[in-house]
Amino acid sequence: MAVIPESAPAPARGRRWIYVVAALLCVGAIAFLLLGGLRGNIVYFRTVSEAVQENDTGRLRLAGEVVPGSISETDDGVTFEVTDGNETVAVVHRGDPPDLFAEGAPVVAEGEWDDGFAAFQSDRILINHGNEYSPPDVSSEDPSAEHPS
Amino acid sequence: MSDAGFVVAGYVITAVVLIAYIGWMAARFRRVRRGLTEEELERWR
Amino acid sequence: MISLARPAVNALGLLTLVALFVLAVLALGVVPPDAVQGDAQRLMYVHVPAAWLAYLAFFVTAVSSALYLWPRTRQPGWDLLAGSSAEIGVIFTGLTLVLGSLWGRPVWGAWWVWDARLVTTAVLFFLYLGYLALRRVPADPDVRARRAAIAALIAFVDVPIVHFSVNWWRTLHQEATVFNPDLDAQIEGSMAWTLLFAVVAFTLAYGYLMARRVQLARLEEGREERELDAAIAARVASGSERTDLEDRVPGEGTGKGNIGDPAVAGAGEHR
Repeated sequence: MAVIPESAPAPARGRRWIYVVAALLCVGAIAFLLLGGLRGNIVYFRTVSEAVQENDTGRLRLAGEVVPGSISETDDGVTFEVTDGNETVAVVHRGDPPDLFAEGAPVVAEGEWDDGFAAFQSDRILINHGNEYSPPDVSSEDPSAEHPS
Repeated sequence: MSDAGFVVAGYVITAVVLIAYIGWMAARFRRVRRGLTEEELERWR
Repeated sequence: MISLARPAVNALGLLTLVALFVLAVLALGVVPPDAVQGDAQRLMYVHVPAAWLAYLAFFVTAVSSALYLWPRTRQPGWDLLAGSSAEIGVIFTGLTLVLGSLWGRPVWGAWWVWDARLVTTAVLFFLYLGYLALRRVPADPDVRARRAAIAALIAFVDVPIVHFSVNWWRTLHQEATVFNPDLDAQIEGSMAWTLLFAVVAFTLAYGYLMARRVQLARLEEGREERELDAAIAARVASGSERTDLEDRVPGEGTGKGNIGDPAVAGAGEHR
């Protein structure tokens, strides 16, 4: 049986700091995630009605459904209308919308109001899909459930 | 990348993670067993 | 203490392998694609059970840690179980994040968003990674186990926060499909059954990985204890009276048919 020499704790003490540092790095990562990332995002989006009422300047996210028939392509993106059932807002988007962007799709547009709050200038669109799953053939009653392509 | 590409990537990553973890454990098993005495190895078997 | 004989572990491993293979066939080949999301939705059958497995693993860590902290049930085995389960939990939390990212890119249009569900899940990953680091900071075994147990109970607070984040706050991430506030699953039958099968298959995988990881931990523990015994013996022989550790060493008490358990065999009778 190997006998541990008297100096055995020395390498353990060297290793100790590696794990203390690793644990502290994890605490740092958590602080970064909560303070840097989550602050201001805990309410991830505004509904169209809220956004119209608040009329905030600065960046915000606007959520609603794409009004069927309102999509038209522009040189550098698309324009469309988004509604939450009560309010409807025109969105001017620069860039390519995601694959699932379509009429009736639930979207989150990120950007800011233009001067005079006439239209929402968006530079990022996310699809805010729900937790409902069904195969393609039983979804005909839901216009938002059609495959976009 | 197509939808299928993301799906295949996801399933492959899942398999690789599982295999890697089991392999890592197997390597540690071998290392520990090398340090056992004959009597202890016999008990282990 | 939970411990399986080796043939049982091997049988569980084989069962897990078959279940995961069947899951891959069902999820990739048999079940229909989603009407809206198309094939990308097939990632649900690994993303959701991976998250479930992480919750389960951290729950086991929390219960084991509580059992270690309670003096009447304090045994080194609980600490060992807690550490093993947390390691598996961290791996599957990481997998959940990666799979979610792969699902988010085609469906949301983003690999990552700063919403409450994603951020609290990333926090969960780092909480338990930090816990695993803390476990490795050398100290007296009992001190180390106690502070790990306290850390595990604190970290577990994040598990319900992750789960309910989609109900408490407005997130881009959808609510739970089955365990949503109304318990009203809007998922077609064959998809629901595949998801249920996936959860069962991943739970089997957890059982197998835990059995192996605990075996390994005990084996390594046994070696550590022998080395400790040897070091103590050497110091006693060289004159310094340090026998205080010796009484605690055989603590791995229950020994319920632990075939080839060197934590018992090594520390106990034949030393």
